Amino acid sequence: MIKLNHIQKRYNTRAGFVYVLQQINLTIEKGEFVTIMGPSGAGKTTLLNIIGMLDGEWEGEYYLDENPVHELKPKHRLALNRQYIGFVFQNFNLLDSLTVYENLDAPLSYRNVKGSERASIVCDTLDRFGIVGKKDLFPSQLSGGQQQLVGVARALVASPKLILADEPTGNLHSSQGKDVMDLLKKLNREGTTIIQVTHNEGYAAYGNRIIKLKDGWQEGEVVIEQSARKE
Amino acid sequence: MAALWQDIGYGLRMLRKSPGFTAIALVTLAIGIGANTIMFSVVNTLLFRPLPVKDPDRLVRCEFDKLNIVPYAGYVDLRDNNPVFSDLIANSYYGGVPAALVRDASVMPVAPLFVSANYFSALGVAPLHGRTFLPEEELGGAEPVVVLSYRTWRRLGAGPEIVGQYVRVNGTLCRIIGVAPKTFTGTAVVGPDVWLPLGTGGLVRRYYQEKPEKPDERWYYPPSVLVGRLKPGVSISEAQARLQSMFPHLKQMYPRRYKETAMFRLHPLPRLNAGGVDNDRPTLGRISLGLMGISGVVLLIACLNLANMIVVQGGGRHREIAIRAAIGGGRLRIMRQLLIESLLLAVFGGILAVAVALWGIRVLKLWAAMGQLPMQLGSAIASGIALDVRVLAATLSFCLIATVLFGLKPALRLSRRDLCGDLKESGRGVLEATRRRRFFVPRGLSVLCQMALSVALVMTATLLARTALRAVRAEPSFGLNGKVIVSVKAFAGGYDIAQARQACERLAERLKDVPEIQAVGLSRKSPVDLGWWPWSRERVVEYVPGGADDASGSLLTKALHEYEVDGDYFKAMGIRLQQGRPFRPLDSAPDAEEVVIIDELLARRLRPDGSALGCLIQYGDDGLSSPRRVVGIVPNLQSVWGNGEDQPHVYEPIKAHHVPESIHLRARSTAPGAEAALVRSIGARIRKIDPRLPVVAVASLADRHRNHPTVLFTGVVARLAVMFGAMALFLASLGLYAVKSHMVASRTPEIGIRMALGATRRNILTLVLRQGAISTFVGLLVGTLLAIVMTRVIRSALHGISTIDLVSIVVTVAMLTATSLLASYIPARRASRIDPMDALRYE
Repeated sequence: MIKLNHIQKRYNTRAGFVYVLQQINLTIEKGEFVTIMGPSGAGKTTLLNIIGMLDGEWEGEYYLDENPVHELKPKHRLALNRQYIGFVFQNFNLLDSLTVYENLDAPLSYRNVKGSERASIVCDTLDRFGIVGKKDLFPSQLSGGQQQLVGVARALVASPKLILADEPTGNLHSSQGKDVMDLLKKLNREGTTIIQVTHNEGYAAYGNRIIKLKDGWQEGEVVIEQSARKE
Repeated sequence: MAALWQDIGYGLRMLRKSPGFTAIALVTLAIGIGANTIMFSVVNTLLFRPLPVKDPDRLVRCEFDKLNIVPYAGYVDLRDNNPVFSDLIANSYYGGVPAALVRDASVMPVAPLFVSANYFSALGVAPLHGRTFLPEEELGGAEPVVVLSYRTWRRLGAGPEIVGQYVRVNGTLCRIIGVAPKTFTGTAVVGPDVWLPLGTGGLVRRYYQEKPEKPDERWYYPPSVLVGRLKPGVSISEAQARLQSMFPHLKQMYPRRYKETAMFRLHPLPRLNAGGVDNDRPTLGRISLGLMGISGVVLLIACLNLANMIVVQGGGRHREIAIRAAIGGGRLRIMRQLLIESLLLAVFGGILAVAVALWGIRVLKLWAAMGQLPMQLGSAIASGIALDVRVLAATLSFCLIATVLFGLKPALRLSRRDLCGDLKESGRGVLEATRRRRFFVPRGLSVLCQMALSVALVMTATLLARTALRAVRAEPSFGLNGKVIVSVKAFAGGYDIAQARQACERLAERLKDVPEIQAVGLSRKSPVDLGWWPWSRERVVEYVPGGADDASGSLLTKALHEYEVDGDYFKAMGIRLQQGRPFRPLDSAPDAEEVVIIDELLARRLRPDGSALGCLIQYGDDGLSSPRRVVGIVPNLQSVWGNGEDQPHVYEPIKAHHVPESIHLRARSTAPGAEAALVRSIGARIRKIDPRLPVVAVASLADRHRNHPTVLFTGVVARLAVMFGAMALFLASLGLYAVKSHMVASRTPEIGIRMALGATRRNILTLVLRQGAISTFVGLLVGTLLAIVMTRVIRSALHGISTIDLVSIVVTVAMLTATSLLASYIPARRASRIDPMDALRYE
């Protein structure tokens, strides 16, 4: 589904170029649950942002389902993003001025889904995530776990083929985090490809592959399901 | 469509979410748009709005040889033989002196306009009631008839049955034949109170001269200003050229009046007053430009304010916009939402602005109707001003553009290349980043501009207010208290000249016996009389006996104002004679030596080192008067009744064939209320002494001074300037407060960190107050320079404006600094009270 060739990101500073990512080569198949791990500053979030097309300033080749993202104009990248990707943020990034219902409705509205259809999808999603009772509340009225739940629901509401989760449990306590991870695992079993960034090895084990980064370089991979280690 | 309604709903919610910001933005819009609309509506009424006559742009004023008036026969000749006008009308204010209109027991001063019979038909105006003049009514000797203005008709009871009734105008019985329509003011914005046929001029103004046995054209008909309606397709220049060919015939009719090389010119009509012989449009234009400039500055401050607040608020929405983009929102879609929010703000602001404009115009009309403006100008505004929808739309559009452009700013910088940066930072962080990148250029500059404009406007307002106060300042040569002026029109009582003069003198003698009255004086023309323009002379020379001709005397001044008063005038006015004596009754005798009393200005020019008493002077225009001996010297007048350094005053005894128009009374008591009691009671006292003598007006000298057109006008301009200055100050302080508040809110975590590291409340207070101090200071400096420039411009349009003084500068700088500090202090104090733990948890 995703193929990255020689992906590289750098900043130009007075002291010269500072590389955040260097020579990242990666392939992710459909249905995989991949975890990107590494110490702080390794470039994990940067890589996720590139895959999620939130960052457009990079070099290399990026294919998303055979689409050459590196050759696309921003308008076409947006279209691709809408078609394929749902993003779960560490700090939730809900729209504070909108209710839970409206937060879920917004992505559908941006994808020009008709009103009646949107209502149906949002209701289904609320029901699926067990947050029907909270649909008229604002994010500030929810707990952290509930907010992240809404964040995950929002990422899923448009039925993306790929979910990118940047430290989805980073701001949650352990039980809430487990709930979110269980949910992601369930989605993966249903066929959604998931790429997550996490520091937590326990949560990393929910996936079937771990990609390790260090100082912007790929350091190796661990395949969990096969219980083999590739160096 | 559903998405559009959704965006409208979101927009309303966003406005409700920030009630403080929304309220300030709406008030800013309302004041900026409303004030401009009111101001332009006034300017439009005075300067631009077409007169309510047929095809006003085809009307022109005729000027012959720099003279604007033509004798009657000359008018008739031109009217019947010209090739360029479809209609030619004649009108004359005949000196501009108010007449007395008497109906039953009521007496009112009215401004009459003498017109040709075709006046109303040529202007395409039909009367509200009755009819207008017939051709034969224009002729001298015809039955006197009168058309009332709507305003006068209202004052007389507003009944349609008034047509056919009679009134006396300066004692001449006139039949009311019609009432003009409500908005009709003739060929100018300010119109007369009554219209009379040209042929009644002599009758109504007979106090200038008795009716001769065989009155000729000059007695009946006043010289008139001609207004022509150009024929279709004829331009002004073409008309001028063709009329020039008629000039030799006019010269032949009046060889002494017109020079050989005279030119015939056509001009646009004076705007303010039909009797105005000069084109007042340039002066009006300058004043209007000044007023529009002032309100334009307020609009600019409002827009800068709004832009600043929107940018600041938008800066805190970068994260929200980045999230929307991250979840699939396209740029156009996001921009549409922001556009709708800005439009909603502008629409609500516009609605509020309409309310402000309507209210403001209503207050202005009330103010004008209450006599807070020079009478006729006030009438023009009270009846004529209306909300100008075009201006409202234009200013609303201007603010809309500003609101929308700056409201779209957060979305315009949106780029998918930079989303993650905005997503990574929290709201505060984004604002900090924005501030660091862009603070000094847009927002600091905006604050600077607002401060500068406010300083300029407030300083100008302070200056105008001080000038107005100076104008209102009492005359130093005599006090205003305890003095009353009674305007009488003896002719309105049916007296002839001799009888009228005797009646006035008898009345003065009887009034001297009234215990409350200390002194009584008479005048026909004095600086403080109602409605009189002083006679001015172009040459004043000292007469040296034995000199060969007129030119032997040395020229003392090129202009002089001449008045007629009796011997007790100066005593009644409280003016102390510095040298010499007052007039005696015998000075008015036909064969007495002609004497004058002059002011210090002329006395110094006559004898710089000695006394001018006993000197002989002559004055006049083309020719000079007979020599007059100086018998007294009085101080210069320095208030609005003075006329500047180059225009001394000369007082003559009231001529034998002239009738006094004013009685000057000085109350014996200076206790509070004594003067007011005299004003209230004097009318009844005069009626008891002479029931036939109509009293036109009674006013204290203080009121007369307060209602002087210069004082009123300067006061109006000063009040407007102060009002707009206050608006500018208010808006600037609102804007500053909003920016500072938002800055404090966005720096709350930083403040928390500083306090956690040991910063005291005082440190925080200083931090916030210091923010933007440089912009404020530079703004004060730039504003002061701008004010100096503005003052020079205003001085060229308004007489009597003094240069900027230290008091104005100090007051303005102090006010703006205090306002700025207060606007900053409140949010600063709020910041200093932040709990560090709350601040560090702030998101």
